[in-house]
Amino acid sequence: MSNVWIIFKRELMSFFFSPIAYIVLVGILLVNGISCVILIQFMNDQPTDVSVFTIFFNSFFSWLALIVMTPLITMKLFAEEKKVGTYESLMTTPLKNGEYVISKFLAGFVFYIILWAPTAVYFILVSMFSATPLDQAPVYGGFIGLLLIGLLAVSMGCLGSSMTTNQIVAAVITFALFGGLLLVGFLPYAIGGKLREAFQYFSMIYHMEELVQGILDWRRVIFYISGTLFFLFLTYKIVESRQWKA
Amino acid sequence: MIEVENLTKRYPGVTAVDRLSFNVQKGEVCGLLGANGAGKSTTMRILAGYIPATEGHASVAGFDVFKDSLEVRRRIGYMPENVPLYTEMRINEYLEFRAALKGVPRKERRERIEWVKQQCGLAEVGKKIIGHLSKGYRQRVGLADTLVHDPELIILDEPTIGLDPNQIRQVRELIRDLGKHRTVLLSTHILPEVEMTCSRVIIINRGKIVASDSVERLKQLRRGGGETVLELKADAGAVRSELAAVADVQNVEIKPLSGGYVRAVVFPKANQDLREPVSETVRRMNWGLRELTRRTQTLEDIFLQLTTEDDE
Repeated sequence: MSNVWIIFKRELMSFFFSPIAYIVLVGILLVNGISCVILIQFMNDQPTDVSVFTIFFNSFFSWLALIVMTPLITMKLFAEEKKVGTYESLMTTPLKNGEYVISKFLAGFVFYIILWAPTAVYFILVSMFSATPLDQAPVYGGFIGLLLIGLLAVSMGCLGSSMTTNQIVAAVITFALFGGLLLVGFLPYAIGGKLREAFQYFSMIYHMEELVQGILDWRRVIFYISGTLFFLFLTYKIVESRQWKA
Repeated sequence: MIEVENLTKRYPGVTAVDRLSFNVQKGEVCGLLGANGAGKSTTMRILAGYIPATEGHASVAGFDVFKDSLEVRRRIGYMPENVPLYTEMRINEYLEFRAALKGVPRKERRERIEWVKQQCGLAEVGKKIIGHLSKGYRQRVGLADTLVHDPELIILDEPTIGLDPNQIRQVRELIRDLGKHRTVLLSTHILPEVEMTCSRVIIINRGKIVASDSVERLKQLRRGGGETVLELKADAGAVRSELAAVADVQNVEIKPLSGGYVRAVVFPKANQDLREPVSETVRRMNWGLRELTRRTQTLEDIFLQLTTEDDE
């Protein structure tokens, strides 16, 4: 297990040496900042009884940030090493395939958390200046949602990145996987009946809607965890395929 | 140390390695020699546990490279072709990372890193960023990495490619030093390299072994060579008749040169050294002599013979 820590540390550090990471960091801050300002402005003009954060986490802006930025941070995880060849020098040390996948995933996920962490400042600021005590449920719910979605998105990113040596291709695959799931998430709002309930299981938008109302449904947690494990398993198989006999 | 038996690697449409069998004993410095695309890198990748063979077996230190891949990887230091490195790291950071990954205990790490840096001429530059290093220094970092965990077997794929002559000499010296205490398998397509660093050579052509022996034995085994070359100031006809009369001479070739000189190549019947009898004839005839030398076959000649012989 110490190998996981060694690879994880190097991988996380390497994020901070890549210009893309800073672009993504600034991009997310920009999108979320604009989103927050617009929302607060809007609510100042037309007070409602809904918390700012109920809308914030499920706004167009936050999904935009998720769908664009996540592929950009995960695209290099495997593809870059395969391209440069450090993959070969790593895989000829006593490092297990599973350890490699897990440590890459963790590094990506921790960087994802670092990207979103500054949004906590909005919560602190709003609670400082708000006249009435802030409803905390949407905030916790929203952040739990971000974490769960992050697990899934980063695991999709791992799969996309492990499939190719081209980072752009990796980003596009991840974008397609995550975007596809996001689109499926609109279906519960378009169809009725039994199908609607079925699609709710896959709808990240619906899940977020529940979470920002303070509803934590364990079926949703299981959906994200099992989805994450599924994509990590596929990634593991791709890494392992190097050792398959033709 | 290395046992390879009927090793075969097939890619769709190509057989990269074709029923290769060889052994490398502990303490040997063994060179894999072959043209580009002969199957050297593939063989080394299989031995390093990076890719599996299609057929056949290979074991390192008694462990099967496929079944006990982790055990094998613990015991080898492998430097891939072109030495891939993390360019954003400093040399010290990189070596620390690699040492940790290869299981060097935390307490011994600093000492080991200092030692390999000393060995590879990196002692002064540990704080430099790898991306800013010249090719020669990167090569040294790669070598330092292969040594950092004190492996039983060192596998180097083209260790001197892309270096300038000075750097090549340094790397060769380092490899020779390493070979005193460890087993080394290196690949190259540069012939003098093998002659200078290796105790044994395996010549591969199109995935097959065409020769495997010590450098000296290889030179002896191949027929041809051993002819004596002279440059004389004399009449061509006289040279031909006189030299052909010397004992053990098979054949004499004469080529006129400018200034009244001729160049004579005297072929022996069975690889005998003809320098003494020939020089006696020259003295007796009182010819002007400006060169007398015996050609020995270089590894290059042997290599060319071996790798072009079976081309149809």
